[in-house]
Amino acid sequence: MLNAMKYQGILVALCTSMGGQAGTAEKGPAEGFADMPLQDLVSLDVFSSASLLPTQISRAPGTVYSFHRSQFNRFGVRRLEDLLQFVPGFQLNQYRKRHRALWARGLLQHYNSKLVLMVDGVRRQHLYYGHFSLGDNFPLEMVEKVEIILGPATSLYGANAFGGMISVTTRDFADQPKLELSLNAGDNQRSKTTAFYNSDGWQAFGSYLTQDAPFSEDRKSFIGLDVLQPLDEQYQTLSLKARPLPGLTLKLNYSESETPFLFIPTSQDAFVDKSNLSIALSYEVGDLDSGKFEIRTYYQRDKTREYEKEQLTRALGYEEFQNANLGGVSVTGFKRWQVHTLAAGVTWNREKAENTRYERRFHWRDGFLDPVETGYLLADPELENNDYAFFLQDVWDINPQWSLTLGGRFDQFDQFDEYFNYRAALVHTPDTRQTWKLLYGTAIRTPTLREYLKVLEGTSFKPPVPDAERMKTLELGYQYQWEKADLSLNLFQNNMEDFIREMPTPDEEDEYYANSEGTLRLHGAEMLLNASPLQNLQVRFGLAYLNSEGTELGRMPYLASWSTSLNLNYNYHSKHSIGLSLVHNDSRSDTNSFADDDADSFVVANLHGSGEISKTLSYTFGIDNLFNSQVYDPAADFGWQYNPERNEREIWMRLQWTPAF
Amino acid sequence: MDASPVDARVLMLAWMYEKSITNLRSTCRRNLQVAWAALALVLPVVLFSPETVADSDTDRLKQIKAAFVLNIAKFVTWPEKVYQQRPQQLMVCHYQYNALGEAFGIIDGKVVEGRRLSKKTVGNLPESVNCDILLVPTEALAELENEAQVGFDKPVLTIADMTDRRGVGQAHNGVLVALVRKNSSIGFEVNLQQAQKNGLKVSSELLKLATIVGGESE
Repeated sequence: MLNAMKYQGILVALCTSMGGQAGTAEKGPAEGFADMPLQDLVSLDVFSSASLLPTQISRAPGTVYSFHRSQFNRFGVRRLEDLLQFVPGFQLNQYRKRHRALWARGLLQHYNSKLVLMVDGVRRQHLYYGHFSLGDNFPLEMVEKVEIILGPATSLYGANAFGGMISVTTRDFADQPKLELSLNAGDNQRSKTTAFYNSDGWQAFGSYLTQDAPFSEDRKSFIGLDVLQPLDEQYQTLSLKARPLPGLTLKLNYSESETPFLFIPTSQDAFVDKSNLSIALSYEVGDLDSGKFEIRTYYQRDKTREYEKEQLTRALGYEEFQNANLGGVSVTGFKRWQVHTLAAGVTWNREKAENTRYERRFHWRDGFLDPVETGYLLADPELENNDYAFFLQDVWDINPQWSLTLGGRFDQFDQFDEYFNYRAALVHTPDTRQTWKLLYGTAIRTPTLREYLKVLEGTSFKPPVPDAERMKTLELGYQYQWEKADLSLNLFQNNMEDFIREMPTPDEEDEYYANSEGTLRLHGAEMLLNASPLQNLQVRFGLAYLNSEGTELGRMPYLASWSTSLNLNYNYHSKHSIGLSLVHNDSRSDTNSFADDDADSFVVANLHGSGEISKTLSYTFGIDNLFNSQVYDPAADFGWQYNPERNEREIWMRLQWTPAF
Repeated sequence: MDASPVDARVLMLAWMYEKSITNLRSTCRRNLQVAWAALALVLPVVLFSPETVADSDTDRLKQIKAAFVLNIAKFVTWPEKVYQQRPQQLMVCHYQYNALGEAFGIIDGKVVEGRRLSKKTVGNLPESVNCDILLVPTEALAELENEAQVGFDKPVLTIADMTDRRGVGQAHNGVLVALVRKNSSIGFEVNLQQAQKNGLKVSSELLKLATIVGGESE
C-alpha cells in the first residue's frame, strides 16, 4: 500500500510538472552549445581516445562506445551499469551478492576482474576479488562522460584490460560557480540526495542513498530455498576535485556502502560493508606537436567487511575482512613527428593486503562452534605485489586514408611471470562516410588474490596455483555514416588459453580456482544503428551474436547467443521527452539440477522521461522493468547453485534544482 | 507498516494502475513480439532513408560545429551594401548539401546583429554570391578549392569543416575559416588576408582564439 501511494504521488507530481512552463535549467546539449561563448567551445572535449590520443571515435583503433552526460536521460538510466545494456557485446549477470557482473564478449566472471575501470585516468579496483561495481555505489550525477573500449587493451592499460576498458571522466570544472541539488525517490523506500558545487578551481560532490534493494522477498537462496535476508542498504559518496594550477588536478574520493547478501540461505543473514578512499594527482603539460607530458599518481585504501548473523540468536556467525592498499605512478610522454605520433610511458603499481582475517563462529551444519575458527583468507596474508611496466605506441598516419597503430607493453609482476602484449590496428577511411578497422591484439589477466591464494575451508584439498589467462583477438569493424545516419558492424574472434574457472573441491566442501585445458574460442558479431526516422524521434538499436567452443568446456553455458537492445526517445516538446527501452537476452543454459529457475529468454522494458519545469528545475522519471518480468540469471559457477533473480519493477523520480548564483 | 492518512483518489488511482499493468502484461508480451518483427521489416527502410538522422556522439559533434558557425558569425562584419541588401536576414548557405543535418536546427533562426539566420543550399560557388556564410562539408572541399582557383572575391564567409585533420596552418583556396582538430577540441584557422580582400572585417576578439593562415594581413 505504501509503495502504491509513493508511486502514485510521483505520477501526480509528474503530471503537474509536465504541464508547467519549461526553461533552460542546464546548459550543455543542443541549445546549450549555441549559447556557449566561443572561448568555451574551443575548450570542449570533443574527440575521444582509445589509444591515449584524442581521436574521432569513428577512427579510433578499436571498438569504442561513448556516452555523454547529456545522453543519460535519453536512456533513462540511474546507474552506469545500466548504460552497458545498450553496448552490443555486453551481457549483465546478477550475482548472488548485490552487484551485477559485466560480461564483455562472453568473458565470464563473478566479479568484474576481466575489465579495467579507469576514473579520470586512475584505475579503481577492489584488490581481493579484482572487482569494481558500477551500481548505486557510483553516482551518475558526478559523471561527465563514459567511454567503453571492447577488446584487449592490455598493451596500453595492463593486466585485467582483458575484455576491455571502461573509462569514466568526472564532471568538468565550470567557468562560473554553480550549485546542483537533486532529490530522487521511488519504490522500495528509495531516497537519494546529491549536492554538487562546481567552479573554475574546485568541485565538491556529496551523495546519500538509502533504500531496500529492489528484489523480490519471495526469491530463493543459492541452495534453492527461502531467503529471510533483509534488503535495506545505503550508499554514501564524497568527492573533492581541485585545479590549483593549470594542468594540475587533485582528487579525493571517499565512498561507503552497506548492502545485503541477496541470496543467502535462511540459517543466517549476511551483509557486505565497504569503504574506499582514493586520492589522485595528475599533471599535464604541453601539446602533441611540441611534446606533451602526463604524470598520474594515486593511492587507494579499500576496506570490506563481510559478515553473517545467525538467524535465531542474531549473534555474529561469521566475519571476514578484505582490506588492501593500492598505489602507483604512471608517466607518459607524447610527441608528434610528421606522420607519427608516439606515446611512451612507464608505470608502477603496488598492491598490499592489509587485513584478510576471518573468524567463523557458526556453521550451518554444525551450529555454533567451540572453539571459534580463525584464520586468513589468503595463504599469504602479508602479500605485496609490484607491477612494473613499460609501454610504447605509434600512430602512423600513412596518408589521409590509412593509419596504423602499433603498441606494445611489457609487464613484470613480483608474483607472476613477465609478459609482453601487443596490438596492431589498421584504420582505413576511403571517404568521410566509411571507416574500416582491422585489429589484432593480445591480452593477459593475472589471477586475483582470491583465485590464487584462497584458503579453503573444511577440506584438506590443495589446489594448484592458476596461471594467468591469455587471449588473442582478431577483430574487423566497419562503420558507415550517411548524411544523417550511422551504422557500425564488428566481427571478432577471441582465442583464450588457461581460462580460470571456479570448481568444487572433490569433497564439495569449498570451491577453488583452476585453469581449463585447451583453448576457449569466443566469436561473434555486433551491430549498432543510430537513427531518427521521424522528427524528434531517436532510435538506437543494438544487436549481438556470440558463439563459444572450448576444448575442455565445449560450448560455454551461461551465455546468451543473441542479445539485443532498443532505445526509443521522443521529444514531444522542446523541453520534454519520453522514452522506452527494451533489453533482450536469448535463453541461457545453466549447470544446476533445479527445474524452476531456468534462465529463459527475456525482454525487460523500461519507460522513462525527462524535461525542464523551469529555468532552474528539471526532472527525470522512470519505471524500470515496466511489466515486472521475473528474470533469472545463471549462477555461473560451473556448479549446482540456484540461479539468482533480477530486480523487480521500480518506479522512481528525480528532481534537480540549479539555483541561480 | 501502517499507511498514513491519504487522499482516497490517490489510492484509487494506484489500484487502477496496478490492475491495468497486470492486464497489459500479457497483451504487451504479444505486442513486443510483433514489435520485434516490425523492427526487422522497418530497419532496411530506416537504413536507406536519406532523412534518417544520426545521434549519439556524431550528433553532439555536429551541434558543436553548428555552434561554432553561429559564434564566428558574431565576430565578422560584412560590407555596408550587404546589410542594405539583406537588412534582416543572415543567409547561411550549404555548399552542395547540409552536412550538419538536424544539428543546424540549434542555430537556425538565431539573430546576429539584428539579422535572423536563414538557410539554403547552393550547388556551386557562383550561386553563393547572395550568401553571407557558405558552409563547406569535408567531402566537398576539393571541389570548392577547384572552383575557387579562378578567384572568388565576394564578401561570403566560407567556413570549411576540416575536423577530420589537425590544423597545420595552411590556407586553402576559397576557404576563409577552417574548423580543424586541435588536440581533443575543435579549433579554427582564419585566412585573414583573403577575408579582408573580400571585404570582410574580422574582430580581434575572434582572432585571439584563431590561428591566422595565408599571407600577412593589411
